[in-house]
Amino acid sequence: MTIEATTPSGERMILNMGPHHPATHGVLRIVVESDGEVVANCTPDHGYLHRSIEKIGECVEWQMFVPYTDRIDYVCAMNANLAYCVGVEQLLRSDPGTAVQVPFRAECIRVLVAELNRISSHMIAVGAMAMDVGAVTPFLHSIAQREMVNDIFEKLCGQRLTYNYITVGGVAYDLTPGAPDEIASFLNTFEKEMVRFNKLITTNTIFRDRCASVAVVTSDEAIAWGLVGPNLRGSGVDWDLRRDEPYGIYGQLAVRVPFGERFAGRHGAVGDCYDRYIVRLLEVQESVRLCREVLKLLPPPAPKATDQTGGFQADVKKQLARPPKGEMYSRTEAPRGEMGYFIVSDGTKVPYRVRCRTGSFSAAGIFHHVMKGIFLADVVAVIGSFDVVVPEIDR
Amino acid sequence: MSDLGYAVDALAQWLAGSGKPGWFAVLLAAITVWVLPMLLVIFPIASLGQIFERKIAAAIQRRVGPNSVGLDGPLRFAFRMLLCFLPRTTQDKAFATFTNLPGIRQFLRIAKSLGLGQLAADGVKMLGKEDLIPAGADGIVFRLAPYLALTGAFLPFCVVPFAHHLVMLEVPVGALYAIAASGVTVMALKMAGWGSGSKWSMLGGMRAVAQLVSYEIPVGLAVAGVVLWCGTMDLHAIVGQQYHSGVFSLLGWNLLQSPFLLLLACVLFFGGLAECQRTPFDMAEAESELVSGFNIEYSGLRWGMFAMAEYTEMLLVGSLVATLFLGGYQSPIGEQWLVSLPVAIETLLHITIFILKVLASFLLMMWIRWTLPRFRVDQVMRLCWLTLVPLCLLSLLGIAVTMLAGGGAEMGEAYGRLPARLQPQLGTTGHLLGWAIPLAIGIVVVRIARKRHGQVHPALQRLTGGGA
Amino acid sequence: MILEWVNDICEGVQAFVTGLRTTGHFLVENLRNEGGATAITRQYPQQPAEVVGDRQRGHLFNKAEICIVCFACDKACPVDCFKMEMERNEDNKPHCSRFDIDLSKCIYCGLCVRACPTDSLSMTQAFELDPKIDGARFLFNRNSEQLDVHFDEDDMQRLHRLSAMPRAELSAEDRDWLAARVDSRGQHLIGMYGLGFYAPEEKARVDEEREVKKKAKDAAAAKAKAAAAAAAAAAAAAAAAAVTPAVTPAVIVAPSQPLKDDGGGA
Repeated sequence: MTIEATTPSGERMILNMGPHHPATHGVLRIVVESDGEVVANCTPDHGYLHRSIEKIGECVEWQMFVPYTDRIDYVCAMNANLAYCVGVEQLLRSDPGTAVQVPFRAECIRVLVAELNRISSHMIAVGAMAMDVGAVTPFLHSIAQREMVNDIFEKLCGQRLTYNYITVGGVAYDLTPGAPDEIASFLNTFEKEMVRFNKLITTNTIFRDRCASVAVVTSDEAIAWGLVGPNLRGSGVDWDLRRDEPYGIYGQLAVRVPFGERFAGRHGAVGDCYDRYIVRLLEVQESVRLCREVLKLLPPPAPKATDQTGGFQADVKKQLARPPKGEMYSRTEAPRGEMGYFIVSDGTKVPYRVRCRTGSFSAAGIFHHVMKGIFLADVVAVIGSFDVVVPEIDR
Repeated sequence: MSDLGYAVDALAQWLAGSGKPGWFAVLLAAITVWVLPMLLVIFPIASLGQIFERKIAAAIQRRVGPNSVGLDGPLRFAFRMLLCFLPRTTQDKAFATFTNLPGIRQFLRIAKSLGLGQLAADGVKMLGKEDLIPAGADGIVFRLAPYLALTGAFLPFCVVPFAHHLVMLEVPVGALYAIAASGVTVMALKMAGWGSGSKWSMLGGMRAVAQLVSYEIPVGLAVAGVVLWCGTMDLHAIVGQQYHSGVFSLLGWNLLQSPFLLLLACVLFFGGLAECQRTPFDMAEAESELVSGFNIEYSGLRWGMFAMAEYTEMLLVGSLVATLFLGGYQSPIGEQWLVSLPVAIETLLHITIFILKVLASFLLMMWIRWTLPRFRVDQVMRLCWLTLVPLCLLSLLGIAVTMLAGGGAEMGEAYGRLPARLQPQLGTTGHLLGWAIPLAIGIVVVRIARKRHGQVHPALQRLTGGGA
Repeated sequence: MILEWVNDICEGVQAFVTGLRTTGHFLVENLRNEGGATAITRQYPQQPAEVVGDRQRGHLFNKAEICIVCFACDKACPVDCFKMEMERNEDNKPHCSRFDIDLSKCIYCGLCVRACPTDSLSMTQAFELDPKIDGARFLFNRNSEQLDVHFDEDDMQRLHRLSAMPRAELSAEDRDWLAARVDSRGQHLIGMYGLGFYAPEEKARVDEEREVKKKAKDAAAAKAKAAAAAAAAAAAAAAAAAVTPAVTPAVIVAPSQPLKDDGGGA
């Protein structure tokens, strides 16, 4: 549904949405050229949160960059850690002399925390979107669920937001003895809470009508604009790196991939805001299932940390001091889509170049395209449905 | 004259002495008799409503809500003021003795856990804030808007019957007046939006005007349905007509007379919700879109006036629903005994019942606010013109048909000092049929519609706990 | 079309009722438990933030006795928040003479703790940076032993200047000055920031000391004034009598209070 912006005089109003607008998720600024309530044109303006993280990557050692990846996407720091560490391990594997074998238990823990973090990240996404559309209560409830995940992570690694948990060669600490039970019981309560959450907002017709047919991205468009992750799948493209290019132990897990199917019924279209929203919720369900499966696979801990099955960290000190020369691009499926690291090594203990590719960046790229001819009120819903996290755009 | 008008006249006469009362005497009398009591009743309820709303919002969102500011501070201040001639230590000792009384201590504890002191704190904060007028604002329009908003919210209360013996003004066209007077708010919001000189507030003002003007129509039609049923526009007469002399006096309420009237009550409630800019119709304010909409540039007491106007309007909607559909101030059970009580007790009970009814819709409004998301501009218009107005027209038709089928009118019962009036002649069978036939048709239509168009995507069913 | 319209209304009503029922459920659930017992929010700061698990990554803490000054933490630190110096004692054994952790730089990543070979460096459970909460102060520079010496503004400036200098460059006077402010429990002094106090009772004590000091000073000033007046009177008398010059008024020094140097532990 788009509306032609037609004022007889052609006069337009420039509205600065952000960088401190309540619904722009941090410091995103969007310059909206509007014709009354209808958006005629909009230009996202980025860079308010630029901290030159990629440049920092050229100055710190391999292992020392992991805390910075936390800050690239603080909503799902585990996945950001994972993306970087998988990249470095892939680089090390390019030379048989430096190849590292991540212990199986560490791989399981990685998938476990990554999926838990996907849940908590999507909780922010769907809750914030509901809040942008005007319902405050669902946000509080989804945040409450996220807090549960944060509690689990705090017990695991001592931090609630910037975990620095996954390291090159494994994870920093082993699971606490009670952790599997805790996670299992959390998953149970979480599923019940999600049913209530969905009754509250997902099936609400006002919410559905607000999102249906708004900012429709067709599958061709989505591919052409380089959308990734749930935004791509919301447009009906069946593509998920966890299944199609598995890394870690995802290959053994049979990931089921939800994608947009016009969930809003006859009101909607494939690739509208509602589809993207529902795809996130379905992914959360899938993550819950994956967590349960991984808990079954989890081998018992071994006394030695570097043990190939029960250990949690391979010794990578030597390899990281003298990594192979060359460049490597590896990508993983983060909650906001593919998170890839392009890493160039000149054989020293400091990377020559670390370049990060994030999902929010490509999502922000399509804003000006999909925001033409929608209502001003929809702008916030669209931002919410693409789930941009500003530090991911600016870095 | 059976309303408070005679009190005004008497007071004006007394003020003027022997001569004919001049305009000043009348004004003074009107303020004393009408305006002050109304402010004294409605302001505290409206401001208590804010605390109430914050508590409810907190409970729904699994928070605690205001819980730190009790009443001990204001009380201590009052003690200091009262005993200012005594030394400070004596004042404090008196305060300590007072607060150590068992009941008082309980009360203070509860007041603290409810955050009642927040009210005083907010008031002081608002008074102390800088009175800011943006450089680009139109000074006069900007300053005038809050007063107009309050006026529009308060004026309709003149005709609302609070108790059998407590009506400000018995106007023959009271229902019409109430709708017309509340229309002033449109002007106020528009002025606030335009006068602020901000694009966001202007958008908010525009939205408010479009929305309010549109929703006057379903509200008007809903009131028209009641007027059609009762044959009068006098609000007090409408209340009188809902009198039923059995034990269950709620059987006489308009709400229960016909399914169409029930429908109209819903329409009036939702129209009223839109009129006072509450979620899901809060597009003029739209926190996440327009930041704060029409009142974005207001601060301090001017902003407080807008907030007060909003809550007063909520009370107004509640009292209109109560008056038109819920039997006004009448008790749901045993109204006939209540009328025979002494006037003072009867009035007190009536006021209590009325306030309870109003608070019920107040509560419902808050509940809705913390449940639903917000409509979009076009959807609000669509809801108004394509759903509420047709529903109203359908109901009007239904009421007319019911009355026609009933075959004329009969004299109702006299209620207290209100004379008997004509009302539709239906009888018990007629009432039952009047409920059964529309309901049956409605259910059949809904069934067919749900079957034809009510499919939900299986994924959604799975998300809400249903399906495989 | 009419059926669609009816269906839309029905869906709306259904969603409306479902939503109200869900929130009503929350409402009743929360109200039934007095004071919002099911509330998920904590009444911070009245209700202290609970530490979850035993791996809490709070403020860094270094046990100076075990520290071998190997600089492993410094090398692992991505933000360079450490400053340390090694000295050799009489037995030619290395020990840590200075260990600064700049908490304004620290990002609490824990890499240094993982790198530490002797486990002297650890992360405490304390994460509070607000002086009002549990007495921990907002320390931009903090000693490994968390000493708690009260500094005033001038002292702070001097301390910052000195702590930025290598120990070898410090003059004897500076060394003495620093030594006077060293915690009795350890010889390692690091700068600390802020004028806060460790605990309310500490604050009360120091306030009292300050009060006594001030009173003494006032009394001294009054005394001096009186003496000056007397001297002036005497001088006047002397001038009148045109005899020997007046006596210079005595300089009275306020009794100096020793600085507080016994701070509480973390």
